[in-house]
Amino acid sequence: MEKITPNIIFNISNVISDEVIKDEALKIMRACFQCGTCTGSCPSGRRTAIRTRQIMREAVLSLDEVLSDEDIWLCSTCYTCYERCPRNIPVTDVIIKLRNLATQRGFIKPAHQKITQILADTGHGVPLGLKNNSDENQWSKSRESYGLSKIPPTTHSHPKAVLDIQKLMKLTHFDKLVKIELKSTNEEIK
Amino acid sequence: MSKKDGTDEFEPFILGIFCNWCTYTGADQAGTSRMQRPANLRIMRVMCSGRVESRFIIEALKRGADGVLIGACHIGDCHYVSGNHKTVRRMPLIKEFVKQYGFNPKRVRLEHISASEGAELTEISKEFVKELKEIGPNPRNKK
Amino acid sequence: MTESNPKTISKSINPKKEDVRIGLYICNCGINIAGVLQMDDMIEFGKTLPNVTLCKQYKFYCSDNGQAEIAKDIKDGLVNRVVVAACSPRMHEPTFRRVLKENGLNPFYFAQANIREHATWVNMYDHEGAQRIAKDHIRMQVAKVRKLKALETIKVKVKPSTLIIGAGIAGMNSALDLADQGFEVFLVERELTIGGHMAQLDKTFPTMDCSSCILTPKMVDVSRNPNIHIMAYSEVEQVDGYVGNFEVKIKHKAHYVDQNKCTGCGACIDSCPVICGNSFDLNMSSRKAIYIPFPQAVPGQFTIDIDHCIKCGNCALPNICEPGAIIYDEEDHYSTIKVGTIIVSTGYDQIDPTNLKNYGYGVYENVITGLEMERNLSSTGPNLGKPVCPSNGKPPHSIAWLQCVGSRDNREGYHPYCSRVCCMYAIKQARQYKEKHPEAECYIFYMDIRAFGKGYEEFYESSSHNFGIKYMRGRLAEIYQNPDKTLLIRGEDTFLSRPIALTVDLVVLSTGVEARTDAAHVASMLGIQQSSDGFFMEAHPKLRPIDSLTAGIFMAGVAQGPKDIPDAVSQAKGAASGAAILMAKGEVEVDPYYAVVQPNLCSGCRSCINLCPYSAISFDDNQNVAYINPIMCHGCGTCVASCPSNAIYQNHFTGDQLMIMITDVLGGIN
Repeated sequence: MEKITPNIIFNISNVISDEVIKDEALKIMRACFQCGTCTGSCPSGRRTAIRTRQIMREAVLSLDEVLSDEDIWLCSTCYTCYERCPRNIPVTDVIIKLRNLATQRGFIKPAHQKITQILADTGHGVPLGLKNNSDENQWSKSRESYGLSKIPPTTHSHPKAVLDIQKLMKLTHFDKLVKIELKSTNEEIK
Repeated sequence: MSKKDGTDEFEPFILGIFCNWCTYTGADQAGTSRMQRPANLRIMRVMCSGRVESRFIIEALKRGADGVLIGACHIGDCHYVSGNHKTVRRMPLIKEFVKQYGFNPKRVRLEHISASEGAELTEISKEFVKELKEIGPNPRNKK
Repeated sequence: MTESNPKTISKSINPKKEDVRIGLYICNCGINIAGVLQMDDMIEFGKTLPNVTLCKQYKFYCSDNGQAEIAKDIKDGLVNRVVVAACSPRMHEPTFRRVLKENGLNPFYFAQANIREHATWVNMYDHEGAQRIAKDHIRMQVAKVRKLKALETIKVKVKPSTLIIGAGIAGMNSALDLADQGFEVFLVERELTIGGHMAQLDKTFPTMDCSSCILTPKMVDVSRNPNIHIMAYSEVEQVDGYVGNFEVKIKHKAHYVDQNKCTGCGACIDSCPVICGNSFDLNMSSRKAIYIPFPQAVPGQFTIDIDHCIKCGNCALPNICEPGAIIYDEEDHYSTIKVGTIIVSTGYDQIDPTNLKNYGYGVYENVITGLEMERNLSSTGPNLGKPVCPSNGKPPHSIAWLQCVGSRDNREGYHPYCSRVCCMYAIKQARQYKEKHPEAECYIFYMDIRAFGKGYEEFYESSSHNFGIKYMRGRLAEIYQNPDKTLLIRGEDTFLSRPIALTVDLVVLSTGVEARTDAAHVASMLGIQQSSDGFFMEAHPKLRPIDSLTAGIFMAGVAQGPKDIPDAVSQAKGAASGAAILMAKGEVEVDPYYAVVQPNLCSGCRSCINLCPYSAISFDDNQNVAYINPIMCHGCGTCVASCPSNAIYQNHFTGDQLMIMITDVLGGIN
């Protein structure tokens, strides 16, 4: 007699949940009793496919698909679910943790990867439009009207600091994690 | 005969004589559970179905009741050990009297309904109403 | 036995016929009645009835104000008979009778028309029909009250002793409470030891107290209390009598070991060559044919399991049993006791899941019941507290509990009710296992988790949060066995709406509780009722949840309905209090519904004598007439209905009184 194949519809394991609950503050995730307050409260879920309760359930059961699920990227991290959870589960933090784990497994969206590339290149996720508008753009005038310097004291005023950022990325293997190219040569970073 | 909603449909008058411990309590339970039944059953209480005299039944039929429902405990459950046995034994004689008075013996029923059987009571009364509608009104009421 | 001789009621306290002034009070019962009936029409109708001098309505006649209104009318002399049309007389007849009594009227000049349970609640949408029935019910009671006679209640002495049937945690608590108040208690237990099911449990939720550690001291207290007579291995055979004076026949099963001589030394165990299943461990372990159920058993004397004993005579050898306690030919014997009150605490049976074929209990070795898991986990159990898979004797890596096995199941043979303990015991067992095996996988398949008691929800939360027990919402559909005896379980995760299939080492069916198989027999022996769920029925589900419908008989523990240990103990203390109230008062008033022979009409045919189940009817040879002893008469009226001379009447249910109800109600419909 052959062993009956469980004809597995999904695999329950502890791999993902164990990863998540390495952070002691997230251990309480396991107490989720699926009340649905999070999904009901989610402003993103009213317009997108994100179903927070299901994400929590998949995370507790460590279903692999939770990491490849595009929906985890639809959370706007407004923290409404976090505030309303009756079991005090830091739902938003769990989702952020899941995004970290997803990225580690290579589940990253091209748009997000592009942002990390911009971050590496400019030191900003959303850099200022320096090139197009030069001195005459609206934001620099506004800054001046408040008595601030025309250009903020970030990598925009200190282009050399971009190299430090890239150095950090290199040392933490962030570049490999998100698969981006650091334009500066290794020599320069050293 | 009582008419419902002014229509001509015949609404049987059923007199229930129920024992205090089982059927009367069962009827209370039917009420507490809001089990709806047709409004045909009037209930009077005796301590035991053994108290039911044949003349009660005959008198009810003579005066125009369409049906009489005796409610007793299940055999073995009588609060007074064996009062319901005596009722059971008395029934064939009562039915004979009923026949001799010119009534359909189906107008008299003995049912064993326990204190928790409100649902059974509801079913039995529905069924009895249906049966009495088929049999028709008590001939004494035809004027 | 009685302090008021029923014969002395003078006829002069009956008002003269023309003097009957009936007050008819129609209760609105909030909207329960007034929301269905046309109250103005009811009042107009009431006023037309003969002898009704006053007809009123009020929101709640059972309230203080309502009672005061009736009281005022009586005191003002406006009425001398009262009919209240309201709920069932089973509910408030005593309330209104008291109003009459307190205001100088005989309490039996009262009748209650049931227009709530028997009219408005069963015809909630047919308002006209309800109106019709309500009117007829009022007509009948007004007719009856015109004919009612003044009566005096009988006072009966209550013996200061109690019979408690079943010595589980409920029965033991009732016994201790009553014994400590100085009442004599007869504690009858069918098994060899007191303690009940609780003795089989390992730990108790939600505090994780060790069950035996809190139970066995109680058992010792019971055995040492001088007011408690433990009658173990005994069964109640017959109960006669009535509140205050029950006569109980008890069968004492043969132990085949003289219980007075046996010292409980245990030398006989080794001498016995027979090995058989240990029922205390649900046959998961073995014992000898001469045994005590478990080491802490009370009483602690040995018994021979005569079905397995081969009568080899080894244990009877003088060098084995030095006191010479072995009696192979002992026979059952009987005793009779007299008690004033009875407490029924017969407990429950575990639901048998064998017929739920899709779970394979009894076919697959590794599918076990909740109680078996309890013994499996118990440090006094067959595996000394290290649970194993029955198939290989190894600790399981993964266990699935399946809730609501046999409960919340409307199919034939199972029960619609919730057994109330299974959620919590499954969580407790899973947590116990996780405490010892943190790496194990514990799944609980459930539909709802019912963690209702004090500290229960917190216990449930902690089991998932701190112990990582996985809660799977969905009832398992089927279980299959793999060749290696592991189990494939199929169900659904209803949170994700996805079918699920898992392989686990052990499945625990969280079987619920059901009424004892012989509950019907016990009920008819005691003259108490069963609810539709099979458990014993309370007199009122809210206000008298401990009293049976029969005066003097109370219920405690799961015998009345599923409950956990704290609830069973609370109810046991309530039952003890109910019994103690009767016994402390020393007497109880009984409705005087006894039957009376009118000697001038009695033909002396003696046909009534054999009909009486209580032997209350004797024959007076001097006068050649029958005589009914009013104390022995229970008031069924069977003799009344069968007297060929109409010589017997039953108080409060006379032929006149019942007949006029029929004639009046039918006179009104033509």
